[in-house]
Amino acid sequence: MMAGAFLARMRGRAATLGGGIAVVLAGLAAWQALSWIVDARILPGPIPVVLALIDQLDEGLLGHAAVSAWRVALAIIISISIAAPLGLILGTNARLYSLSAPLIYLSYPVPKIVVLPVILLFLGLGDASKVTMIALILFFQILILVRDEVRTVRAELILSVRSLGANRLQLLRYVYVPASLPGLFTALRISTGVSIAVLFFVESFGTRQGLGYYILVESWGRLAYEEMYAGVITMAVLGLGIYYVVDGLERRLTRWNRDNR
Amino acid sequence: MTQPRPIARLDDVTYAYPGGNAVLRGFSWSVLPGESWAVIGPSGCGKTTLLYILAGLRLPSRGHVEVAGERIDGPRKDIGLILQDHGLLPWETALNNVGLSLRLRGAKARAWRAEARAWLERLGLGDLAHRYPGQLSGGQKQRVAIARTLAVSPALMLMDEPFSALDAMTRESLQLLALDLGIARGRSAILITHDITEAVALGNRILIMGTGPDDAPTIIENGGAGTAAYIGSQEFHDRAGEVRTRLNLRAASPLA
Repeated sequence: MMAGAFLARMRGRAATLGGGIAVVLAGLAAWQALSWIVDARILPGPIPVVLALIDQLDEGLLGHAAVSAWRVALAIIISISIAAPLGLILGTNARLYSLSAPLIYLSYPVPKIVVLPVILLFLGLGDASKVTMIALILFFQILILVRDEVRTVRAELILSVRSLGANRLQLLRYVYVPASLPGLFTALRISTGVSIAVLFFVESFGTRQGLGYYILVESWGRLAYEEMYAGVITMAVLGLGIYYVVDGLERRLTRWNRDNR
Repeated sequence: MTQPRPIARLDDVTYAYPGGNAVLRGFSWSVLPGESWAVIGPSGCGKTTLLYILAGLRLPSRGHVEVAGERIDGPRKDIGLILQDHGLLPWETALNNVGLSLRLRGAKARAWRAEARAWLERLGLGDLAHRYPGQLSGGQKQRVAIARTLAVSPALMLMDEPFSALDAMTRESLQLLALDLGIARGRSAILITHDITEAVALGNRILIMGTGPDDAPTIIENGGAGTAAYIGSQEFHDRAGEVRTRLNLRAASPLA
């Protein structure tokens, strides 16, 4: 029975992989066709772009990608370490919840990117403001989803764990923290796209490193379109990579949740 | 003959929910070591509140509550509580859930794993040790909850309608299991139920509560309970009839 399930899962994975390859091939074909139809100078075909990509990785593109990855990773780590504990506190404390709810309700829909000038004024043009901007966007998603996930923990569950003699710290460890994990991962998954978009934007000024700089200044600005597309692909791969890491961690840490659905 | 010291005692206890009417008023009751009580009454009679007070999860507005001779001011380690909603952690396996009570007491990993596994085996759940609660049936979940509570051998077991969410077949088998494990043997047990036959099958003494605040609850002696053979006997049926009559009497005159 176990072996059967394993085989079925492998077969499922192979099917997903096969489907993925088919989609990529279809995309490449469409791209090639389009580049034949329109001006090949502003839309080079996949082959010269991939060649440029390989060439550019050696020429500094990898370094730009590493800097970009580092900025996003740092922003994710900072936002989790502030927003998750705060979400746990607000979710478990009815008084603080009702005190903070109006403030969060009002500030959540405000597009955080509009406070960028303020952040730039306070933190300057360097990495601090770039990372802070991305972290701020993630912060609200994580805060709200963790807070709300914790609030759905049933009172009976708390009572029965308390009746076993759990103190506050043990309640946190055995009940609230694991209960908040699905919310945390949902927040990260839905905000990966936005954080890459903001990364691209904040890397377009005040830096000579990062994929945003590479795409906008070093290639688009120099009319080097093959390199520009190589940069775009690298940025897409970065986004995909972050998504996969989050997805993999979620599978590992919330097995109970996945298996139950 | 000197009375043995009660394991649990309520003296002139009043409890009211914030902004609500009192569900218990001047309530006194005591449970002796080794006794197995069934508490029965209609919804809202305060039977669950009574249990939560004994579990140290609610503090009475007035009056004195003690367990094992000590005034109660919070959950105690020698009390085991089993709720209708099994209260298992969805993110822990059956094994880890049974081990939870031991882990909370600081047991070493090797020790609590062995102990938890032994309890799962005893309750016939050995093969399901690594399943999550979401992958277990209602009866299996309740067995895991029972194993978790028994693992710390509490002096007093408190059960709030533990079997009422289960189908009839599972309910009966778990009731027999409860008798078999001697939930009452050597320790005291209080079972809250709204099922007359369950009360008569499991409670050596039956406390009948009426609607409205109660100060003089009715007690029915039911010495035969505690064996599988008793269930379905003539005496069992007579006793169930008596409980039904008393319950109806109390429900009919809530102000009596």
